Amino acid sequence: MSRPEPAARVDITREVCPMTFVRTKLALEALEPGQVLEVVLRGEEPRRNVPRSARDEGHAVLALEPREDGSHVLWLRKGG
Amino acid sequence: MSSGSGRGADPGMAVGLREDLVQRYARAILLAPVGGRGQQRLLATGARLTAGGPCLLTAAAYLAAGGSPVKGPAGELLPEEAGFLAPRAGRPAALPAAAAALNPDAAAEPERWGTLLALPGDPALHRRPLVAVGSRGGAALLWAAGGAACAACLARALLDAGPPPGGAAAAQVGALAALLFERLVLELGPPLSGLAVDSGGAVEVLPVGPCPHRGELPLEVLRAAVRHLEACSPEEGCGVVLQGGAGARFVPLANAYPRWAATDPAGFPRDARSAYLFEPAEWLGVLRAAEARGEELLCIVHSHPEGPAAFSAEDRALAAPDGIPLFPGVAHLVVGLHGGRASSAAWVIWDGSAFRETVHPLSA
Repeated sequence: MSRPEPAARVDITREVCPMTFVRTKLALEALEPGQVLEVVLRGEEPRRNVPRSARDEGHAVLALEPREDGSHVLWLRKGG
Repeated sequence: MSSGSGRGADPGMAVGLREDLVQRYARAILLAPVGGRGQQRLLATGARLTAGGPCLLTAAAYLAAGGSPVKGPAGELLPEEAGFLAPRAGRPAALPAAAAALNPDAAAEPERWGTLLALPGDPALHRRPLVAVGSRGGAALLWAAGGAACAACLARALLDAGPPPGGAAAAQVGALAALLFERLVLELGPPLSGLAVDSGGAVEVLPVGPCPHRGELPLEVLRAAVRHLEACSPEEGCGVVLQGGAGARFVPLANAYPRWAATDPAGFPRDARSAYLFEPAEWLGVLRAAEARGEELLCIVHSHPEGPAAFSAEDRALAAPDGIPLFPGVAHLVVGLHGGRASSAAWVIWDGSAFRETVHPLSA
């Protein structure tokens, strides 16, 4: 499945709450509306909370996919 | 594509925050209206206190904890009048030192300063964002003014206000003052807002009516002004607009520049084609009559014959010697004339730190 080319990527696999979304939020702030951010995350907490928090702040969740190493990749499109 | 690791500083640096600041203010960054850029603004905007006392010191403590630099009035603060920034040993301490102990960022030199003003005091003398704290009729009073707030409306809101509350009420009012200051920094609220806190702690949002000091002059007043200015051409014409219960009216004034130039050519090197001055006796008479009729000075009017409708450097210097406006709540209308006819007009208002110009239409 083709994905839009992300404008930036952030790895939050070594972070714990609340820094997981702090890193994601700061990365989104640096983008223009409509650009895509790729977030690599690990664990139940960020997998549940980061997409939800991103949606709450007006961004679109494009996809969340598992990787072979047990982490997940999340694609977010920055809202206007 | 740019990338950032979990420990990397890229995402924070992209919005101007160092890694240690991202860590320190993570909880604030999470708040939807703050974020990294908002936190950056809080760090870059300091608050100067015009006085000590528990109310303003409480506000300063909250602002310092949030990362905003704070600076106190000159001199040391006594423990019995200090708020949360009081040293525990009970010895006097200057505010910057106490703030630095609370948060080192609060002792930094910010990009810009705002003001925590203890009433009674003149808001026109202080930088914005400005939060004024005082009391009236047994209730605490807070007014918050951003750069776009009308200076005259603010001055009117603060009329007859007493000093800020002391005692336990100071903690609540001080916390609200800090909140209002941060709201202005983050541009979350209206440019002018007020709160009243009664003795039981209930908070009431104070009404802010439509501003009578800005925008457009009534057409008939504008026409009267333009008729006078065109009649004065090719010399500069001048006058004022007074606002009373019956509405606004234009009062023409003589351009006294030629008379001053005749008596002191070196001190007044220009002529009436490029300069104007009110005749002091006539000007005083207009102000006295206005006061007797319950009218306020709304606007000072002058023309630029064969010149642009723009507030010139000389106009600015005349209206705000040393950068302090003579009439902070009073607008200026500058009318450009070409061939003896009004061609354009500018409306100029002091916004608390500088004069701002907008185009004023000449017809309905």
